[in-house]
Amino acid sequence: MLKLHRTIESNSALLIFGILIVSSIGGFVQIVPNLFDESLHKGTANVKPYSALQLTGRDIYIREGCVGCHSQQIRPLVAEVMRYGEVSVSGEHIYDRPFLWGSKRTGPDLARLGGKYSDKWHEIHLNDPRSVVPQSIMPAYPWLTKNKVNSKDIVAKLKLLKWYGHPYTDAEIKQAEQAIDGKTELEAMIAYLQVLGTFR
Amino acid sequence: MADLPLLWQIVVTGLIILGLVYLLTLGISIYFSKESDVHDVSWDGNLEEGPNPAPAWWFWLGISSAIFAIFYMIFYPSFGNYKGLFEMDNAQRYIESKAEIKRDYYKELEGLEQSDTVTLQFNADAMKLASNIFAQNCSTCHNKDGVGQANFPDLTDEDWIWGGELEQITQTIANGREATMPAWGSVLGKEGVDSVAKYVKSVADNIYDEKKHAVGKEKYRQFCIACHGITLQGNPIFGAPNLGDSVWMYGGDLESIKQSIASGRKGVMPAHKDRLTPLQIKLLAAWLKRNN
Repeated sequence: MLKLHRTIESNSALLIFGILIVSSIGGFVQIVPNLFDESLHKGTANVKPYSALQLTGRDIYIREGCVGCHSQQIRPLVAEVMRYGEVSVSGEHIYDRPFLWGSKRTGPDLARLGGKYSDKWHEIHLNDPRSVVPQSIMPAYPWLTKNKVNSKDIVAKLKLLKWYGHPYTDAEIKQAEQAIDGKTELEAMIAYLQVLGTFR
Repeated sequence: MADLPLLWQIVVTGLIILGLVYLLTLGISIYFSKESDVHDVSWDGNLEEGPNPAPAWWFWLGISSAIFAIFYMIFYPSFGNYKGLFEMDNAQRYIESKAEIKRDYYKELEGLEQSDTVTLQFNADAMKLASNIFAQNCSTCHNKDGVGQANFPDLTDEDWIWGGELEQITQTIANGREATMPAWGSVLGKEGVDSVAKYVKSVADNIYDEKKHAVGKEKYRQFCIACHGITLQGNPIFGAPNLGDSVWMYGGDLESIKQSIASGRKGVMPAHKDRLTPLQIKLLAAWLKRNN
């Protein structure tokens, strides 16, 4: 045993190789078995791929860095469930690519936001958060109302997602550009926010 | 998460045991070895390392953590689906703590299920609870204590858009409401909108003038009375607000009224039956009715 150890210690290439193997074991036993666990890949009963408008809103959500302050995962802790709603399950997120679970909660969790407020509320809130929530520290996003969405690359996006296995029909992809053309970024964003957590 | 398949259980368990055995054997062989066995290492053939053993506390910390790990793995879930002697199960614990919350936190709710609304309204604890439920779920739109704000109705006044009966309030909270004031801009034209707005405002402000507002009145009777009624009293069935009083949800100045007519308004109250329990909704309705 000691001899083997000395051989490894006195050969730097072997040592590096050994360190790599040992440090990857932790990741290996935690991650790899999950890749073969079918129950984690199966969608929930209501899960649907995002519509063109919702997907556009999702990309704006990413662009504006919302994930930096808002998580989208309700952990199985009683306090969280009482505040935010039912526990998040993996099947709800099979069409989230990449997922936006986040790990920072400067603002509240958004995993069950859909349907909680009216579209009008979101419109007011995104333009001036403090007009509806006086103690809020969220920045305002007034440009969402002014900017029109970029409809040029939506078809390419949907095609890529379809290649990944998201079940978009050809008709949906064909009409995607038309579906979001002329919409404001605000409309796209609200469409995305209103669908959050409704895939349960 | 489903149980781990047998193959993965073997792989994971094997790797953990292998690592542990290696660490312990190494520790033991270092402990029983002669100094020269351990330190007789030369680098590049000419660079030699003197005897400089790791500090004893460090060595023993390593060994004892390995021994600790053995006991940990016996008592807690470590190998695949093995639950450990303590039978710790996070899923089970979550279910238990939920039941615990129901028992402890909602103790105050006991008996409220059966009592009728009037009894609830005279129950100070129940009303305190209701006001907390309101603060957590409703005040973001309806403001503190339900006094409302621009675009969101005041719930403390007599003016109920969707009806102020207990039944109607419960319905509004549980299933939500969707108002559909159409955009009349293209139908009425710019002048039409202006005249109707002036007429509505004159009635609300009590300065109606037969001659000045005749055109607006006629247009109102043509297009608006189906929902808002002949005396502007509104209709809770359609969620058409009373226009004759001085309560304005979207602003009562001429510009705001004109915008309401020209572009329409689509007020939405989200449904809460999946977010609140029936008892919570009952408490809210009773509380709102009491504040009226």
